[in-house]
Amino acid sequence: MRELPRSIREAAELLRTRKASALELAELALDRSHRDAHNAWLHLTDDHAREQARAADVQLRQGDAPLLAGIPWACKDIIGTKRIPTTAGSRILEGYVPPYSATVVERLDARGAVMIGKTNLDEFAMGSSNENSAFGPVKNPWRADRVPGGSSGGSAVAVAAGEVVFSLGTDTGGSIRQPAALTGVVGMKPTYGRVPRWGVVAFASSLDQVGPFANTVEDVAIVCEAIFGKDPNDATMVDMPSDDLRRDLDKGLKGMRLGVPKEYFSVKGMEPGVERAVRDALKVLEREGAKLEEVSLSLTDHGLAVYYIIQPAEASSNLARYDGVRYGLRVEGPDLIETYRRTRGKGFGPEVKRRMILGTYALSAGYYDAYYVKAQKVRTLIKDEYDRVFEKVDALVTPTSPTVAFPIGAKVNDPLSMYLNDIFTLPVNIAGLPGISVPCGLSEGLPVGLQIIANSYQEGTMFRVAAAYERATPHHLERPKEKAA
Amino acid sequence: MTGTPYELVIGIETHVELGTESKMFCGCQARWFGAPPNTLVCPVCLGLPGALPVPNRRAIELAITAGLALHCETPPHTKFDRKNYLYPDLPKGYQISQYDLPLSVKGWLELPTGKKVRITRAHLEEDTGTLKHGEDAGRRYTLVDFNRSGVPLLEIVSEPDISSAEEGEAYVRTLRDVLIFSGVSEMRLEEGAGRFDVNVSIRFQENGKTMWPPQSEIKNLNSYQALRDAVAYESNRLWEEWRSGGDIRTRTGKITVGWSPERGRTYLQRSKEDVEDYRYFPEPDLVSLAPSPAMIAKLREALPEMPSERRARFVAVYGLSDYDARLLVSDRALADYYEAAVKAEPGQPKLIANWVIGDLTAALKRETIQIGASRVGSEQLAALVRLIGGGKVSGSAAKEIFGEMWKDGGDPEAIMNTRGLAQVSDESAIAAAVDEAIEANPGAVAAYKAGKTIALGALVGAVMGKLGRKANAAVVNRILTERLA
Repeated sequence: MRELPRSIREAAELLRTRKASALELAELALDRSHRDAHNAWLHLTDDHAREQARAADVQLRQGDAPLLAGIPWACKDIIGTKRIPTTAGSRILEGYVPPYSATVVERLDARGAVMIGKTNLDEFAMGSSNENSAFGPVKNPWRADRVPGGSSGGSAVAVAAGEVVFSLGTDTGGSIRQPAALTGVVGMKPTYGRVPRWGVVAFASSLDQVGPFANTVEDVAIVCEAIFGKDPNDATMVDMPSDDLRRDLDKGLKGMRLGVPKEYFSVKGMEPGVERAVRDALKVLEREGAKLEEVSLSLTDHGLAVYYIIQPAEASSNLARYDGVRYGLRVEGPDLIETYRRTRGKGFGPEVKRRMILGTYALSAGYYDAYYVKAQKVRTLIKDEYDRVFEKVDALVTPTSPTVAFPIGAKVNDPLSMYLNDIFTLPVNIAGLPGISVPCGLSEGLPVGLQIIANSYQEGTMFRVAAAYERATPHHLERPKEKAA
Repeated sequence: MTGTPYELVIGIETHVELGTESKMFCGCQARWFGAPPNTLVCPVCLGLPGALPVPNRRAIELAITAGLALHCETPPHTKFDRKNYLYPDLPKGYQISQYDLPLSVKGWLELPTGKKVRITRAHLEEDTGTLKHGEDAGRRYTLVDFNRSGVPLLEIVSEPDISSAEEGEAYVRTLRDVLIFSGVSEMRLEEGAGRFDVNVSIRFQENGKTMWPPQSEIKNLNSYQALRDAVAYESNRLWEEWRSGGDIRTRTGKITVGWSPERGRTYLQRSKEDVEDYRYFPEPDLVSLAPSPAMIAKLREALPEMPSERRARFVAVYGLSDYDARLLVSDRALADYYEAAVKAEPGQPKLIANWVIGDLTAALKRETIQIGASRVGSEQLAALVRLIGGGKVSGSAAKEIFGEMWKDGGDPEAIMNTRGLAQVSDESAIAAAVDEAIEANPGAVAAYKAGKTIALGALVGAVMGKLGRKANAAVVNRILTERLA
């Protein structure tokens, strides 16, 4: 066996028919990951993976193993892992080893999944290209001179390059869906409050959500089943059953009403190839029986402004704890203030500093009402607008990103243009909705993503649409031509 | 007050540690005093990356209870906010507190003088860690102990209704009584469980105009004496600063000062120019709270009678002096003991009060124990008082019985019988002894009849001698005077 199975289902089949052991899958994943040429990984956890694989093999032999037992996966390095370094892509956390695991990691551990290692990301998940990592940019396996998207670039690439079967990322404004689109895999952001944030290094608390990358919609749904559900350690969660996630995967689109928000197609900077691929996808959905309806989300334009107030405001506060007193980097100065200055000055990269300054400013006395309070009001209006649209349609269909993977370095000196890459994904975070990106063809030889957005807690509906599209097209089978070195 | 050329205007912010088992946002033990450093900590109260707060329901209930005891309103909606500032004892770089929607607003506290001090608000927050400064080989260092980090604190803010240091002391003493009485806090000042920030300003007439220059906030006072001394010092200092034409004549905002009990003076911490901007914003890791009317009603019902109300009732119902009532009410358990005894022996409330305040309190003090550890229970004390009231024992015999009860906790009547301390009240036995005494002492009888009433004493002594000093003195007196009439 030279290639990992593409899906959880295929892998589970191999494991149960004894054609492969969990340890063999883990060794294969480790081998491919060690030879990764995309800088997708920050730490590979060989011993830990082998130990988990052996335990999964025992479970599999006993015959009562969960579906995820023995499946190799990759963890974004912003998700805390007990006794395994967790850097959030930042120098300031270099050497930090958490004494506890995130709930999502514990849940995957409990189901026998085998973690191969921790993946590269934009520092503290701040970025759309993975160029903001303190440990170097991640390269797109489709073309080495292109970005993989961000911030969960490493997790997207680990799946796209066939190094693991699935991975976890976090999505604050598109950090799962956009890299999924740019690397040609499926990536999904759950409804806010469905996945525990406990143990996940906070970026913007009211927007952050953990979600999976995989090669198929069904796999994404399987991982969601494992990680969804109330955690007493996260007070922002809602107790919702998640037994319907895979129920409607095969139901098809007959009778479904899908909204096409016109504002998502009239954005400056939208590449024609992207628009073409998405419009083709709409035709496929219609052919499969869906009723398409143009809808208006008139506040879409304001999403970016709202996002770039709330997100940096929360980040500026969340990142205050990195002061060199208790853990991580510490650069001593002659006094306390100078120790803060030097530690934070050296520990944080330029984009993180930019956002902390933005956020601090937005929360300052005299500006708070004009920025933060106003942004929260517009946030409510944006939510209301989605609520009204979902009275008419079952789901929304949009492009995931206005562009395909752009060249490394092309936007690093133009933050605004970088921020605009998330224009279609960040309103979903603002409204707390679930969204998924599925591959919908190529433009200039690079993958394009189709985003499907559903109402809160309607992941089942979202998966139904995505799975129907996946069955109707071969796009999810496209693989990058460049192989791991 | 009198004797100064200005009047004092004082408002007090009181920080009280709530008497919960666990901390405000995690399961760590809240009773931190005396524990070895950093032994009562977890990811939450250490501010580790990825940790999230979960509110302590009991702390919220106690905070609401305190508000109700202070006659506050409980607004229908309340929330937590982040107060952002950097300091090594604050692990997250922000303190979770309440900014614009506190749990309790608009109450009052009645002082023993009858004056009502208005309460502006009472809000819930988390305590910080503690710092220990040291020096090693000429190098100064600071150690941080996070045991106190996250302990629930209630901050109670008064209106500037207090007009002297003595009144300030009466306010915090009365407040402490109320909080202890309502079970909110034990408020052990010697363990740092209560701290006061005192806002002091002076107001006076000058050239026919009322002058009211900016106040000083004296931070972090932790004893009654510190409060008294600091207010006296700072008010006088403000006056002298005014008279000598100092900064106070031109500054526009308050200054913050600390109090050095060793030097007996305040020192400047910061002036308005470098006032910190805390950049409050709603805590995104917590959802807003809406205490239900049912919950509030339940807490109100469970609220005990307040000390001032109980004192008034003791005077009105039991006929106690104000002084005695105050002594009893100063300790809730002592007052409960008293009322339990009165319930067991309803006819003698004043006599019971004398015993509780007298011999019982003296015995407790001798052994420095609390009433809860008394070896004489309320029913036993009531039984002893019943013996006295029924004329079965004399006052001095009762003291002897009490001494025995205190030693072995025995039943008073049994002790009376075994020690032969019962009074003889049998009238025929006493009458026989009286007749004998009259016969044997003609001289004394003659003297008495001649108007020397003092001679009666000799006759009483003779009767007592015959009856082994156990006769009821009142009966002896009555029969003697009858016979000699």
